[in-house]
Amino acid sequence: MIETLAPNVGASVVRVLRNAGYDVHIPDDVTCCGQPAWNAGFATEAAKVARTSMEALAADDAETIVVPAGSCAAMIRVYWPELFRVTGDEDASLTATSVGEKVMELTEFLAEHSGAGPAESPDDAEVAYHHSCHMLRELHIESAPEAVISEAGYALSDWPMGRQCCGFGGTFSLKLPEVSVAMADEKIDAIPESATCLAGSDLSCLIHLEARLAHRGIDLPVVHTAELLDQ
Amino acid sequence: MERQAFLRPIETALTAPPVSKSHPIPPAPAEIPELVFIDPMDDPITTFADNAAGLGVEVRFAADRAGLVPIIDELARNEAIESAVLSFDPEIEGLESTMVALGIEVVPFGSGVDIAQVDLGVTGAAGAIARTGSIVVDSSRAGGRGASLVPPVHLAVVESAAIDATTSDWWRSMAERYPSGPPSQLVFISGPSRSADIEQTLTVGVHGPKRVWVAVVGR
Amino acid sequence: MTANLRSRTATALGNPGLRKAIRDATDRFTTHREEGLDLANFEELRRAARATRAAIIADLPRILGTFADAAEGVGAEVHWAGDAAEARAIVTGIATAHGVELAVKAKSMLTEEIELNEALETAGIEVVETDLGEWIIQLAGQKPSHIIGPSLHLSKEDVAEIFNRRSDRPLPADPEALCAFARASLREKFLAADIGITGCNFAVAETGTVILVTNEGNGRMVTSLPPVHVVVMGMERIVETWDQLDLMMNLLPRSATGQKLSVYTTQVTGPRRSGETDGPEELHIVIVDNGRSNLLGTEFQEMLNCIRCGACLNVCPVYRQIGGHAYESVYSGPMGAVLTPLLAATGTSLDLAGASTLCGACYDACPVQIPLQDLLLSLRRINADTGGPAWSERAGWKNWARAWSRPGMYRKTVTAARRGSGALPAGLVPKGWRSGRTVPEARGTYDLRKALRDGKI
Repeated sequence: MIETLAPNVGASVVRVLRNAGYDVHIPDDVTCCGQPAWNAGFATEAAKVARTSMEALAADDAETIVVPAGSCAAMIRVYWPELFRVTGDEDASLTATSVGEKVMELTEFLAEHSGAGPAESPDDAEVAYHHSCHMLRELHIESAPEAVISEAGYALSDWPMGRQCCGFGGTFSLKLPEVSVAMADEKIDAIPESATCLAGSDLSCLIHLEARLAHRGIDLPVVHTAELLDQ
Repeated sequence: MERQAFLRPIETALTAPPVSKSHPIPPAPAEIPELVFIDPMDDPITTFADNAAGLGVEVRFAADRAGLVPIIDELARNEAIESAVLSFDPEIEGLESTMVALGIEVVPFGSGVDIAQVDLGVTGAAGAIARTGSIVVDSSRAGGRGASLVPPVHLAVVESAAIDATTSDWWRSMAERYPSGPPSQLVFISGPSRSADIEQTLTVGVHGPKRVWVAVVGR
Repeated sequence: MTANLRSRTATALGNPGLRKAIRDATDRFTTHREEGLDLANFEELRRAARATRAAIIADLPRILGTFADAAEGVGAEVHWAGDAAEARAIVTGIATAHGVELAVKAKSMLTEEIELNEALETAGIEVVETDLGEWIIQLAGQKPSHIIGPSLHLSKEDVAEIFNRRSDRPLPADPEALCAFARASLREKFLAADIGITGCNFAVAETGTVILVTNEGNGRMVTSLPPVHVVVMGMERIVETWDQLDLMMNLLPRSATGQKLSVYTTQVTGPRRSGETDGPEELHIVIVDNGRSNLLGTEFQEMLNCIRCGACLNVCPVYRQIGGHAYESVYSGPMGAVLTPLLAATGTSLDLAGASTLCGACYDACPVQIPLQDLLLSLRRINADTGGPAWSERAGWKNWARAWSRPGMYRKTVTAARRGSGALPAGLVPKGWRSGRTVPEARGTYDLRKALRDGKI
């Protein structure tokens, strides 16, 4: 999704990782993790796409696979073995498990291998951080993004709705768009006045929230965590 | 239908279900884990009193049976008690004369006698649970259910030595407590009746008693 | 996804009073649950409960047999009902055999599921719900909207209006006054009833005991005063031992309302015994299947572990917006979205699996750790495999898979999608998405991988 809709975010990811002291490459044959089809109930189609990406990742000799999207990281680590089990491909299921062991979400990786140091954050910057569902509840990554953002010198908002689902949910946002928007609104209405931006580690959530903010004429910048760290 | 006809499709259907790789079920533990509480408990009696009071129960202490008299007197005044029904629990044996002496009409607890108009129900308790602030009423001991249920005020007398720490002290020793099986109705009562069904507003005193008093004897 | 589900959600969304009521109620349940947590090893207990319930269901026939033997041993009569019709017939039969004119009921979602009240009324029996929330919706002619608080969608003004239709004197919209009216009205019914009907929170097999979890006292009234007590029990609502009961009962009230125990934890073992002044002379236990066996042997078997606490409803961000009636089922929220189509087994209500973003909040809250988000996903797969989605969606995913499983094709489609004015490409953002959302600008329009290869990053 990043390379289609937000290559700038991708560039930020690369720079942030380099600043932390790592070499970065994107394997040529990685396409998509297959999650959109998996979530819609189309396992065969999801497996077809996921398999391509999985084989590309399995063939790559990198130490770690950093995924700058909580939902994709969760798809690979938590759901790929199940996806291939369900579509009857036991071998792929096993490969998926070993690939999953190398996967880390971006902030999870940075929190562990930190050294990125403070970014050039504006003095009055306050970040309302959105915890995306897969990252929070499937990967159990909760403190890492907040720690990494704080270390970079940003204040974090006290956002009571920060852990509630944004309402995107893939095809849900198309099939029940009114509910999807209502869920975004509830989060948006609870963003503290003092927040100067909204950040998150899942582009799909961010685009959904950004689109709703724009429709409501609310002027609040929405950024990916990598962009915050890449200042 | 007959039992076997009901169970047969279940037996047939119960082949091992598919095992999910995302959130697999852990194996059943050999023993059910004990309850571990965040706050330590010093003394079951004080903990019981605190938790019961937190539920709206009036808790009083009596060193012995004689000490029940002032408690009943206080209760009768506070709650405007004119009539009472007493269960057959051993803890309140002999209390009838005390109540009569205090000017309370004692209505017999027995088949066909209408206790719906009585002000106070008095029972003993087979025990109490400190962590939940509950008293335990055993219908066979009490001789029935209504005394702790129908009148708007309930007084339960419990021996301090019968106060246990947690539900586990009851539920993990049922076979020891009741070697021939549990009584027809055992109830853990945790405070006066309540509902929050109307706009989540707590209202005390719905169908069961509105007021619950517990007298702890022996300490 | 039928238009129906979407229009039901739109109706709910258009009702601000309803939305406020649901938010307030579910927030309160959740706050109490979180603040009431006094157990240090709650996670360990949840894991043990998950495994224990699964083991019980896997051994259900034997455990049900043990329960029936023990219950019969203490003088209860055990009946077996394969489906709702049979369950209705059994209960109605017991009632008519006893010449019942008035039946009082404690809250039981199963009796709602099997539509028992209508059957009894058709047989000429007056049926009175005695749980306050259930009585309110009975008087209002509505269905429950939450398994723990069936009337939580109604305001106190709504309740006053409902009660005032039958009150001699006008009642204010004040919970105390309204409860006092309920107490007085229902007391008459308890005392006059010929039969008491309850559900069963848990059956304990080793002693044939039925556990009832209530707060108002109506559960005790209904099981103490009338001469006959009928328990309507879902076949899966059972544990084998009292040790297991202790585990479940330390999870249920805490997860439902944050209470350590409900006010009355009633443990019924057979009818009254000699020497007791009250209690039912007859105890009937009706064990009901009604589609539960459809789940056995499948990936959905775990759904039968549910202990009906309602925590998943309280944390679900979708339920929160639309309330229980939008699900058109006695069981709503995440557990309802899973259970309803499976009990029906006719492919109806599969669209309920779409009333979710798979956010996982339900799994986090569930005391027996049912992965509801996974089960909803499995239902979507079944829906996809049985022709639920439109042909265009199916074809869309096939094309997507064909393109994106080949790196070369993937790169081509991504490049094509990027071309444009800088606004996110229409091909990726279907029209339906745009109502209420203004598609933002793309964050860059260059080829990321190429830029990386060329050293431009």
